[in-house]
Amino acid sequence: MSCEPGHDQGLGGEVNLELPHCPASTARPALVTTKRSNISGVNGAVTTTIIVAGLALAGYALLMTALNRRMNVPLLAAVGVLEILLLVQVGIIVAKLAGGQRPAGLATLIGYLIATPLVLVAAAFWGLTERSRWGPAVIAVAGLVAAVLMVRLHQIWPVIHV
Amino acid sequence: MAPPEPTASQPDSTRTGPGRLLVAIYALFALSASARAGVQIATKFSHAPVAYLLSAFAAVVYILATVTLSVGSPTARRIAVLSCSVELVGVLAVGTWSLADPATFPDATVWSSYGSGYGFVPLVLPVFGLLWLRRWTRRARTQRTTVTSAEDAGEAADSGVAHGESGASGQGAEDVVADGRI
Repeated sequence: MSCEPGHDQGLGGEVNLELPHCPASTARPALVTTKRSNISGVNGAVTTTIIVAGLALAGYALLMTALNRRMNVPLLAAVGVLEILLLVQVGIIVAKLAGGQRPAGLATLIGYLIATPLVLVAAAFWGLTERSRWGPAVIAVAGLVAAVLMVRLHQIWPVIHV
Repeated sequence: MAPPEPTASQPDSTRTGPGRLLVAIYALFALSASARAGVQIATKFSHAPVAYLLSAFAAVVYILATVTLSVGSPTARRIAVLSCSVELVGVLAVGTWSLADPATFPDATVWSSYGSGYGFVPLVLPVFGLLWLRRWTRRARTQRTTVTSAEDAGEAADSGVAHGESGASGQGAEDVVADGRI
């Protein structure tokens, strides 16, 4: 049986903990297709907004880095907006959990729920202490991470359609 | 457009300037690799023990690199060079291993397929880490005459020149440090 590594993308954990990992020789394309379709098929408004906002923040911050700008108030405000969106998303998922729904990878999901709001806050502090163009660069990474986290959340728990 | 703001042209430690970004990314990988290894080992260790132990090893290397890069003392820089070297050797070795012998890796590690699951950042990160440390070591050798003791700077320069060391020696130092820290 051939089951190549590298398809469990991203931060920690699996999509289907209970399922056999190499059910058939066609596991690889099937799995990837399923993951992708989950992302596009059950995207909610909040998730989509966060992904777009995260990428936009990353682009803006990278532009600041390229132009040799330091951290400034507009960038921090943008970080704040994205953080609020992330907190909304976490709240929605916690509400689903409280409502009795459970994903296959509960431990992983909880880890994501804890990490998601912290990443931007940590990046903001870390970037603020830098008095050069590299402060915004840290924010750019955080924006990308926020987008990736949303994609991964959907892989962990495809029922999140808000 | 207004001229760029004056910025500090010379970062004053390994965690400022470009190092700020480097430490941030290392911290991110330290967090994600630790969390991933923790969950995998706690919930389904027998499924892919080799992959999960390698994930845990990667996590230790990332934590070590994060801490030493952010501390930035001459000794810390020397350890950072070692951990970045181990990281580079590790991602190349595990990447090759995972492609050559997929049966050993029913589940992916951070370094599987040269870190393709993480956008190949694990492959690129140690290279930038070593470049950054080398630049620092050179500066310590040429410029630093007042701040830290000449003895420490000299030692750091020596270790920095030799940063192409084998994985075996890097791993030895890694173990020593891990014992001291954990």
